[in-house]
Amino acid sequence: MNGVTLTLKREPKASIDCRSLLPESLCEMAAQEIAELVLSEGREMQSVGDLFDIEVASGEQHLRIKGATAALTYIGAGMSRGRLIVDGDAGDYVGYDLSDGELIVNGNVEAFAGSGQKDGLIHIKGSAGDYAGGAADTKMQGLKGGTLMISGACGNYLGYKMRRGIIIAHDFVGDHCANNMIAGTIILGNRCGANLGLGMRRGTVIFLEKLNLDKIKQELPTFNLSGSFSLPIMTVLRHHLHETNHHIAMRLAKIQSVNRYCGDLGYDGQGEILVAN
Amino acid sequence: MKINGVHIENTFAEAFPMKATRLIITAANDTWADHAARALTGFATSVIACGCEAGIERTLEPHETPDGRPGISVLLFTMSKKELIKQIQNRVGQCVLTCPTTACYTGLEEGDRIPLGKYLRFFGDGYQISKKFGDKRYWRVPVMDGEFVCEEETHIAPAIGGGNFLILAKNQHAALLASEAAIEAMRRVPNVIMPFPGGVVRSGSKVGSKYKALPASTNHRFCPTLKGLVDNDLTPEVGAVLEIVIDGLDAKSIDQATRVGIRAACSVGTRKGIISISAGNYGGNLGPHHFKLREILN
Repeated sequence: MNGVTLTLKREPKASIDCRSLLPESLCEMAAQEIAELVLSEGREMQSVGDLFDIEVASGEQHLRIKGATAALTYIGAGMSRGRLIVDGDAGDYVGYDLSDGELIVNGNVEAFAGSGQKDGLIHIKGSAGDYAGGAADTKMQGLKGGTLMISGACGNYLGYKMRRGIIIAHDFVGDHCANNMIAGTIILGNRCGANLGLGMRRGTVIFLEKLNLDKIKQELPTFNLSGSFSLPIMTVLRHHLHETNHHIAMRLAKIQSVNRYCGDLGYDGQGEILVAN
Repeated sequence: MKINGVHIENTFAEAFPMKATRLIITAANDTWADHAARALTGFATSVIACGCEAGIERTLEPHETPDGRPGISVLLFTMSKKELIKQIQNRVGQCVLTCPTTACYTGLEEGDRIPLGKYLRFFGDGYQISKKFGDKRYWRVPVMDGEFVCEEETHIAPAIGGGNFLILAKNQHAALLASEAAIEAMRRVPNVIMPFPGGVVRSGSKVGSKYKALPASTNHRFCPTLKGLVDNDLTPEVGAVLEIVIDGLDAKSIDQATRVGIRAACSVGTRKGIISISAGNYGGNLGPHHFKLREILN
């Protein structure tokens, strides 16, 4: 097992499908073998050696992609183990169907990040586009497990049809957050746009910020307030996040009780929106 | 061998393989955690008629529990995995779920998985909420004071039941004094419980009975009132015998509990009426685990 670093040589002419660049396979290959792999750049096929400078070193076992741009799509798609670090931005479908391992993006990503993720951790240190943790294309489910963490802002439809797992969005989130959410947990460190939880069946959205209750009533017409509760599950969640996301865990620790809103009643849903009290 | 003048007999305790689990019960405060733990471990002194042997292992500080509230860890022992599953369902369902403010979590991280809240969740009648954090799934069951949180599964561990020692004293008072000292010391040992009332049992039993329906009956060889009537293991000066039974998750823990318990019992001394320490066995033919008193104390 080796540490592999791929450095993009030039600006891509079209989007490059990177789904075959996975740490579990590349870290076991020699530089020449990696160079001979073929990727699609738009309609053209290119070898990895033509697109990237390849550096293989013994030591820390991870795959690092340097100089990445939004033209690189499907980074970490189908990844099942290991560690993948992206220095720069990434395109659509980052971590698509990722089943385990750790994927870190030191930049912004486009749409559908973490869509179909089953386990493991995806940490996007910049912003994410629409449908992060959401169902892609005709898929019935978005995030299915693991943790998707976004340090920057998020686009619309965060957690669309999400089935399981945790999404943590530190910054502002766009419209339609938790739309048609099936289950799972979304933690919002900041505010979000319109139509929160529309069509939500089950699942939990947690607001770490205190919000104006009158404003919530206006914005969530199909959610009813159950009351204010001190829920032990919040501490269980905090303990779970303590190692992976200390900052969020500390913010959860400050919450003594939450206002619980149930819905979406328009869809006979049993989801909940918990707002820090 | 003597400790503080108390004779240690050259014998051993004979113990049996069991199945066990550890549960963590939390509540809004110590009092309610204690109520739930005592209810759950009630009527669980012996597998002969209780289905399981259970007891409180220790109290937990809030920083030691999954939900940051005061807690108590309890150990449950049975002869089979099937019985353990049944006992957990019945006892957690009737004694913890029912108790105000409580939650219940596994206290073991390894071993075969068995249901904890997996079926109890149905009490929620469809309003229960599943939360999966990492590898663990929790159930939030709506109840009249809020929510009962219960981990979906616990783990089963191979364990040992029936470790024991006997305190032979001049009279009942002296035997009680030594037993209480022993139990106080043994409660500080992790991974063990002493399942009988107050940790002490007076009705030591032998296998079988003259009555065919009974699987066990009084250990007449240690009953002081039968001296002169039957063949007896007691010297003339012995007026009372009390037994401490120890169930543990491993032999090392039972060794340690036996050691600190006997030393504490002996510290009461011959002057206050403690004569000797013995142990219950069946000649070594029934149980594979033998706890030799003198070896443990050395």
